[in-house]
Amino acid sequence: MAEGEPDALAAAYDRHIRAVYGLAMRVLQDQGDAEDVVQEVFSQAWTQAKQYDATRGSVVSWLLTITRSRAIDRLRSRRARPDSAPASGEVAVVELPDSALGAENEVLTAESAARLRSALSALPLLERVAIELAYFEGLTQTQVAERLEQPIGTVKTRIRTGLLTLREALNS
Amino acid sequence: MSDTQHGQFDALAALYAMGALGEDERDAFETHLEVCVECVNEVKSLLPVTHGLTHGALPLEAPAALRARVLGEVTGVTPSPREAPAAALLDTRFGALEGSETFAHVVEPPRRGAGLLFWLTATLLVAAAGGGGWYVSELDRQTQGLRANMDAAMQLAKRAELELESVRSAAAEREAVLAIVTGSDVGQLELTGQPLAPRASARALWNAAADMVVLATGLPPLPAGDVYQLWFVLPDAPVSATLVKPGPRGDATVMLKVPDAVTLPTVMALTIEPAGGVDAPTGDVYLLGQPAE
Ligand SMILES: [Zn+2]
Repeated sequence: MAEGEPDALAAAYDRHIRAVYGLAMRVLQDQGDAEDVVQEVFSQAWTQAKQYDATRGSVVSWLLTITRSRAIDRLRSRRARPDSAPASGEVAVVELPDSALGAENEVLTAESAARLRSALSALPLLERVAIELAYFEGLTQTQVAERLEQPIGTVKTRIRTGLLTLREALNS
Repeated sequence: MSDTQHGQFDALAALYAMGALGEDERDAFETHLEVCVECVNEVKSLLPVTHGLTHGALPLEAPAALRARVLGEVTGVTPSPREAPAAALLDTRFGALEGSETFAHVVEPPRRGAGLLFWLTATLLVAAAGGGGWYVSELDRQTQGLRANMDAAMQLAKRAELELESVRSAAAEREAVLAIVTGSDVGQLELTGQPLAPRASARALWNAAADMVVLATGLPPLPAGDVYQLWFVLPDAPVSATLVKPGPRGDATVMLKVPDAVTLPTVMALTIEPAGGVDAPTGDVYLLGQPAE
């Protein structure tokens, strides 16, 4: 998306709305909420378009990162449970201390995204489900353990093992 | 890395990268990150994976009115109409049932709390042929001309409609069914109704980890004292897969682990047997599925 031009925004919308909306629905499972998030995402993209650094990753990755963060924020405030993570502010998308990591970022090609998807679906069931609950529903390991009625140690191991397998697939 | 505390944090990088740590654990881990190169490198190496996962959700067609709302509100400019969506639809990802053939469908809005069953249904609906005015009730007439997976979509849509409120299977099981059905490495076998059950049909779906889901519909009511039993029909002898007890409408969703001895795809059959099941099939065959080749 370039320089906040309305046409560019429309083009980005037409190109990426389905991925954005699909992710928002995946997280929120509610059309009204998902639409609100889409609104927020493109609004944020519009205002930040000038800051967006195309070398840092594809537009769609950027939009999806915003989408997940916004959607999980909304999901958590909807849950409004005392044991949930904070209901507002930046969540889930890991923000590492700059001093430690610098501004490095990945560029995910369509090919590696596809590889990742297929690796995800090939994971043992519990690993995959645990990862999806944590990632798409913003649950903590404790909450995942409750949902799956598994010991927390098991969930911890499943998530980690699954993620390491995905990393291997991505790097292969 | 000479931090003596590293050991206790060793396993947390993955959970941190996923955003799955609770607040206290996260704070503690971030403090540790400031002094531990090893953990920093581990997290760094995992971030492309977690970022990549955002691409793992199924793309969905958004309501048409949303475009004007978003573009109008964001830019203050009335947007020009969208180009024909055909090209955009082509890149619909649908890996579960038919790898390369993709169709999109505007998925009906879920009721709040519809949860995973909705997703199961929605995912399959996306696989079905699209267009407005698409109703489950019409599908009975259209099924023949449409691709095979319309069946499963239809059955699930119908079941979701009818049983959304009554489905009480554990969240974990629904998650598991979802995970299998929506996977991109899914194998499948159609089972068709035999003369005793012409309206019955089923679909077996399995993943690489040998988890199988069988979705059956249209099964006749069981006589008292009987049960349906599903079989893998191997060359030497049938191997029991699971017992199947359909709900009042003749639908059943069962999950099972495929035994090691079974190489899929293989012939599968559903027979009627005495309650509790039997070691080898004795009753009539209600459903039969044979691999394409
Ligand atoms: Zn460490």
